[in-house]
Amino acid sequence: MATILSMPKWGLSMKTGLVVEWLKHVGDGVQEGDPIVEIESEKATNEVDSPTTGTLRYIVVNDGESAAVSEPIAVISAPGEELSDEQVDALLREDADQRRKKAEALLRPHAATPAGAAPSAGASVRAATGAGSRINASPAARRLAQELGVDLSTVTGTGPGGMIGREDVQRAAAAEQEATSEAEEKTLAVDGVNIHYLVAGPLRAPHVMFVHGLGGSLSTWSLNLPAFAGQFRICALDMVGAGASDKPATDYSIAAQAEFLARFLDALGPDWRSVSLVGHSLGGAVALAFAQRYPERVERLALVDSAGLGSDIDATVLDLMRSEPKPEHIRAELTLFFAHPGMVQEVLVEQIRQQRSQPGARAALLATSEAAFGGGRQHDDFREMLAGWTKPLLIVWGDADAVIPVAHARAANRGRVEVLAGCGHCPHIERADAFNQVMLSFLGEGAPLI
Amino acid sequence: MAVAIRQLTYGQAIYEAIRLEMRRDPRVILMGEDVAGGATIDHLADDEAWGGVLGVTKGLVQEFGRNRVLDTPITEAGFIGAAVGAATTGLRPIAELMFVDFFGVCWDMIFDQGAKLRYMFGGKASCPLVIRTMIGAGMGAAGQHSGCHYSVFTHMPGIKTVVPSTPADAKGLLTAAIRDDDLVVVFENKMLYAMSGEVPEGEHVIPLGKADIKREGDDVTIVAISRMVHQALAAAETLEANGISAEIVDPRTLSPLDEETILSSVAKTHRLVIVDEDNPRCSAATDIAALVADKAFTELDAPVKLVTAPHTPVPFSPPLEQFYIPSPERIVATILQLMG
Amino acid sequence: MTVKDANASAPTLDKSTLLRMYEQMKTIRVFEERAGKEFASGKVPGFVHLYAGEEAVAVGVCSHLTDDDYITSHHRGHGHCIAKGVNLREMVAELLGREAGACRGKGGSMHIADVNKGMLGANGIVGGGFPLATGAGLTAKYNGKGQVAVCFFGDGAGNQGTFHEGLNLAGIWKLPVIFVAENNGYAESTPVTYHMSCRDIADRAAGYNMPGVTIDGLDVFAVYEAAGEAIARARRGEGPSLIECKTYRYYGHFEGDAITYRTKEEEESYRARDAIAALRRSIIKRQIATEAELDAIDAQVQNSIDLAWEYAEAAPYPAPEEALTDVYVKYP
Repeated sequence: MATILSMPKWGLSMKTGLVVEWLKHVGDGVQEGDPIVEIESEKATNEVDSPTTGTLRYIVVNDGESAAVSEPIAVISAPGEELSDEQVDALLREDADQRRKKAEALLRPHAATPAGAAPSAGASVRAATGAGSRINASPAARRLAQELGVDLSTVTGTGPGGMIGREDVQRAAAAEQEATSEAEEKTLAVDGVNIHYLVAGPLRAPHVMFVHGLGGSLSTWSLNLPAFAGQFRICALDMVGAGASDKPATDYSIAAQAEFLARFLDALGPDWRSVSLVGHSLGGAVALAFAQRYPERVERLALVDSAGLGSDIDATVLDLMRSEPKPEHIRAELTLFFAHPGMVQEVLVEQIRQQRSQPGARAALLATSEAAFGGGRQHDDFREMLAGWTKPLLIVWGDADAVIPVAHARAANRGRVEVLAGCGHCPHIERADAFNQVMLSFLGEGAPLI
Repeated sequence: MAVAIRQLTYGQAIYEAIRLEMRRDPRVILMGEDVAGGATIDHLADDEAWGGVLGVTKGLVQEFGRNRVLDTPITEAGFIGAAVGAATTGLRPIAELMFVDFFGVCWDMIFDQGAKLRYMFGGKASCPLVIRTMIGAGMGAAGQHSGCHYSVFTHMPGIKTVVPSTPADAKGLLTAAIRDDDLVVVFENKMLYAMSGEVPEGEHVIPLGKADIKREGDDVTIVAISRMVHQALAAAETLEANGISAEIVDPRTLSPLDEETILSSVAKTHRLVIVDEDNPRCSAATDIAALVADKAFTELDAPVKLVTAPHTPVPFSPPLEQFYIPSPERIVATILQLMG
Repeated sequence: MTVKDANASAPTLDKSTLLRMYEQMKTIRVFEERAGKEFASGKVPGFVHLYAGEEAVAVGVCSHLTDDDYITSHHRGHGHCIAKGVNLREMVAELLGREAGACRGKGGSMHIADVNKGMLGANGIVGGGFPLATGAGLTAKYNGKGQVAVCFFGDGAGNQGTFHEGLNLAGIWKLPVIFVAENNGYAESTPVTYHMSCRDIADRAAGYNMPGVTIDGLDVFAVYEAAGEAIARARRGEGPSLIECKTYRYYGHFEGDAITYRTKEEEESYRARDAIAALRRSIIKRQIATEAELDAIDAQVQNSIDLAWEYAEAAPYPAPEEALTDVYVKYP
C-alpha cells in the first residue's frame, strides 16, 4: 500500500512550505524514520522523516518549489510494490478528491440523524441547522450541550423556527443514555474480514476496548462487561482468527493484530478515535503494540496477565493449545489457567471445544501462537516502550499465574500493580468482583498515575 | 417597628409616608402646585383645600402649616430649582412635579443642577431632594399628561428612580427616598392611586435597589415596571391555565437596579419578557435586556422579548390609548409565541 | 395702565359685527355647558377645562383676526377655538376621541388645533404658548404681510419662565405678538393674590419694552377696543403689546373640581356681570336688534351644537393601529 507524503503543518499559522532539498532520490529505498526531505516554513527549516518503509516512487514537489500544507509532495511505495505512472496519478487524484470532500464536509455540519430516529426525521434536523450556517440553538442549549457532550447537529429543535432549546438537548442526552445502554452484538467488516463484537454503554461515556488473549474470545470478559456498561462505552471483540470472527490466512503477528485493531477502531467510528484498552494475555501484548504505534489514541492502558513484559511463557499450555481440540486437552489446558480446579467446568470446556473446532480456527490459533510464542518463549518485548509511557497504566496479575509469571507484573517498573491473591492466569474470571472493583477505580480516575 | 397590617390605597399610603417623615424630621418640607391648595384664601378651611390635584396630600397643611407645606405658582423651573437649592443648603424637600410630562419645563434644574452638583463639587455637596411625580396613561389625559419617562431620568447619573407598584411598596419606597441623601425621583402611577392593599403601620422602609418577586414561577421571568406588574399578574393567570408558570419580578427601583434578583430569576426560568409602559427606544426595558444578554447569556433559552408602549406620544382616543398601553393579552401572546 | 370704560365703543360697531360677536359668545357658552354636562355623564374621556364666563376675551380679540393670523391657547382652549373658527363638529368629535375629530382623536380637549386656520393648539403645558406665539410672530414679521400672533394665557402662566423669555424676545425683535392675559383670579386653586408678586400682570409689560393695559375682560367692547389698538400696532410693525383682561371662569379649574377655594357669593357677583347678558342688553338698548332676533340666534346656536353632538356621537373611533401613525412625516 503506497503512502503519500504530504507537506507537514508546523503550528497553526503555517500555510505553505518550501521544499529546500530532497535527501533521497526517486528509486531510493527509505526506512521509516529516515530523514527524507528538508522543508522550510516562515518560522523554521526542518528535516522531515519518512513515515514508512519503502521506496521513494515519485516526487510531486521538487527542490525549490512550494506547496500548501497537507498537499502531497511525494509518493512512497510499499516494499516490493510496483506502481505504474497511471497508478501514481490515480493515487494522487484520489488523495485530492478526499481532501476536497473533507474540506467541504467541514463547511457543512453533517446532518446525522438523532439517536433512534427514523430517516424521515432528517427534515426537522435540517431546519435546525439551516442552509450551510450556524446551528439554530439558544445560548443555554449550547452550554448544556457542551456540558453533556451532546452533538447539536444531531438534535431536533422544537423551539420557534426550529430552534434547539435546553429541553431539546436534555431529551437528546436522555435518549442517548437509554438507547445505548443495552448491549448490542454485531458484526463489522474490516478490510473484508468480518469481526464479531459486542458494544454497550452510554454513547457519551469514556470508551473502553477489551482485547482477549490467545485461544480466547470476547466471552472471556462475560463476568466483567456488565460492571462497566453502566458508566463506560465498552466494546469487546473476537480478534481476527478467534471466536465468531473470520479466520483468514493472514499475518497473525502481534504487530499485525495491533494494526488490525486500529482499523477496527476506525471502522467503529470517530468516537473510538481515542480509547482505553484492557488486554488479557496475548491481548495485552496487542494493546501494548497498539499503544506503541498510536500512543495518541490511548487514554488509559490496563494489562491483565499480559504478554509482552518478558520472555517467559509456559510451554505446556502452548502445546495443549496447539493440540487437537479434544475435551481432555482443553480440560488440561484450563487447569493450568486457573488456580482453583473448580473453575474448570464442563460447560466451559464444551464451549471452547466448539469454538476451536470451527473451520480455520485451529489454523489461526496455531499461526497466532507461532508468531507470538514460537519456540516456547515470547518474542515481543514492550518493557522499553513502557519506560517512556506517561499515561495511566494498570497491571493486574493473578499471584498463582502458571502461564506467564507474576514477576512480569513488575518487570516494566511502571504503572499501578494489583496482584490478586488466589488467582491464576485469568483473575478477571477467577475473582471477577475484585477485578471489576480494581478496574472500575482505575478507569474512573481523574489523574494519571506514574 | 411595624406590626399590624391594614388596607390603604396607594394614595393614602403615600400620604402616610410623607406625614410620618415630616413628623420624624423637621427639615422635611413639601412643595408643589396646589399641594395644600387655596393659599391665602381666608374663608377656606384647610380641609376643603385640594391637597394636590388628586387629593393625595390633603391634610398635611393642617398638621404642618404653610411654612412646611408650600403651594407654588405654576413655575416648575422656579420651584424645582428652589427645591434643589434648599436641599443643598440643609432642608430635605419633597417637591411635587404634578405630571412627569412637565419635566421639560424644569429639566435643567433636575439634570444639570441637582443631579450633577455633588459630582462637580468633588463630593463636597449633596442634594437630598425627593421629586414626586405622576406617570401613566389610561385616564384619557392625552399626550402631555400621560407619559412615564422614568427611562430618561434613570439614564442620568446622579438621579435615583423609584417605581412603586403597590400601596405597601409606595409607602416603604417613598420613606426610603425621603431618608436618602441623594436626588430621588418617585414615579407614582396615577392609575394606581385608588388601588387598595395591605400596608404596614408605623415605620415601614423598603431599601432602594431591592426588587421584589411578586409571583414565583419556573417557565418565564417577567420583569414588569410600575402598573405593569398588575398587567403581568393578570397575564400570569391566563398563562397558568395554559400550563405556563410565570415569575414576576418587580424591580421597584430602576436606579440603582437590583441586577442579582433579575439574573437569578433568568437563571431559573431561562426566558425573559420585560413589560414597560414607557416608550421603547433607549428605555428601562432595553437597559435590562442588555444586562441579561451580557451577564446571563448562556442562561437564555429564547430571545429577550420586550412588551412596551409604541414609539409614539400617548393618544387621547380611548381605543388608541388602550392600544398604546401593554395589555395582559399582549403579554400572554408574546409568551405563548416565545414558548413555541 | 388704563382701565377702559365699558361700552365706550359700542356705537361704532355695525349690526353684523355685533350680532356675530353675540353669536360667537353664545356658541362658546352653550358649547361649554353642554361639554360639562356630557363630561359629568361620563361620555367625555380625560379632562375638560371650561371657558364659560370668559367669552368676551376670546371673541373680543379674535373679531380682529383672519385665518392668516395666529393664536396660541392653553388647556382652557375651547373658547379660543370657536372664536378662531374651528369647526364645531370636529371639536366635539375630538372631545369624544373620534377619527373625525380636529386631531383625529389623538389630542382630545387639551390639544385641539387647526393650524390651517392659524389656531396653533390648545396646550397642556402652562406657559407653553409664549415661545410658540413668539415664533409665529417671527414668521409673520418675516412674511411682511401684516399678520399677527395672539398669545392667550392665564394668570398662572404669567409666572412661568417662558413668559419672561417669550415677551423679551418679542420685545427685542419687535414682533407682531399680542399677549392677552385672561386673569380669572385663580391658578388652579391658588389665588392670584398669593401667586403673583405684582398687582397686575400688565405691570410687567414695561419690563419688556411693550405697552401693557389692564381692562375689564367681561366687557366685550373694552376687549374689542384694546385688542383692536394692539393688533393695529402690530400690523403696522410697531411691535408687541400686553393686554390684561380681568375675567372669571364660572366652573372649576377642571370639571370635577369642587371649587372650595371660591365662595358662592363671589361667583354670583360675577355672574351678575355676565358678558353675554351685558352684550345682549346693549344690543337691545341701542335697538340694533330685537329680542326675537337674538332669541333666533340663541336657537340657531343651540341647534348647531346639538347637531355637532349628534354628528360626533355617531362618528366612528379610529382603528387601534392608528395609534402608530402621524408621529413623523417620514420614518425612516
